[in-house]
Amino acid sequence: MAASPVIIDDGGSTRIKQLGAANKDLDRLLESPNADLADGRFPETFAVPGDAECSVTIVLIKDDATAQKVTTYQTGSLSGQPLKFGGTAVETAEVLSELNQSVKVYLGANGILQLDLNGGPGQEPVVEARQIAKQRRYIIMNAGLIRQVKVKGNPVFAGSGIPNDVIYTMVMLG
Amino acid sequence: MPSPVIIDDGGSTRIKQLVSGGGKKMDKLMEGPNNEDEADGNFGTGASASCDVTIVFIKTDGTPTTLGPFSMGPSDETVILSQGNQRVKAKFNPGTKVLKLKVDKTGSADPIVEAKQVNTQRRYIVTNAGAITNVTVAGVQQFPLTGVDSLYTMVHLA
Repeated sequence: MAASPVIIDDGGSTRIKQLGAANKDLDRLLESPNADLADGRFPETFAVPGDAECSVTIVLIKDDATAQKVTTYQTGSLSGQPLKFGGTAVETAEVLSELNQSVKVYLGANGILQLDLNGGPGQEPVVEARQIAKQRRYIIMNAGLIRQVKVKGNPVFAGSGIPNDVIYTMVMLG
Repeated sequence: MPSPVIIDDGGSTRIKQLVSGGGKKMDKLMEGPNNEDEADGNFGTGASASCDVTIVFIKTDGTPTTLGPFSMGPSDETVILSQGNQRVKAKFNPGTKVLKLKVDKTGSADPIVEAKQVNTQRRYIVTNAGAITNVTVAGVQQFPLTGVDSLYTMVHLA
């Protein structure tokens, strides 16, 4: 089954949901150790284990209402290279939020995406689930704005991360 | 210049005034039956109240799209309708440049409003409102676009 995109975004607390999969739950994100598997296999064209791959698209909206879609590294020697990772345990994407909370995702060779939530020492993630109609979402209540995204261990944004004039960040995994 | 007021979704509908330049608490948004409060600062240049309303939404393929800015004058109103029949209205107090925000309903369910804060930024969440489904500025519908779905919608008043 092809996977629907997984969305991690903010605007306040950091939130996680998978689109499309009606009533799909990721309820193990609520339970320590706060990890669960998304529905479907990545990418949509997945057929055999060597195909496993996940693309990362980041959308930033600034305080002047301008928006930017980011699909490549913005800094370092990988600048301009596409944001994607494959189906090995050493290739991950990580969304780092204020207050020492993070979401780490990685693919199995079978194309199944795992999401792990992590807090700093003594800062276990506090996770709530909410649902309207068929769309469930998970809110890391003790996480603030998204400040950096790393793909295969490399930061996408230079310096301290996402610019301070950004008021909304969406990370789409598909 | 006042800080922008943001109404957005991604789940429940949220309201905040950005703190840069002097955002403030709008705790009366939580208090029924009126659920209304004022944003900080005077909106508009010269003698008359005015603000620009810009709508940014993200399509299902991750592409951001900007609509506007649309001008909102002294007697105009911006109305943001959400899933669940909850509504946020923005208009100016008569004869002033003060922007008034009001949370109300089109159905029978009263709005449930929570406040949350990280550091100096407070936000208000209409927890029984879902995604933004319709935006009108000065009586003209500006969102949604026919046949275009949105993953996320932000209304920016500045």
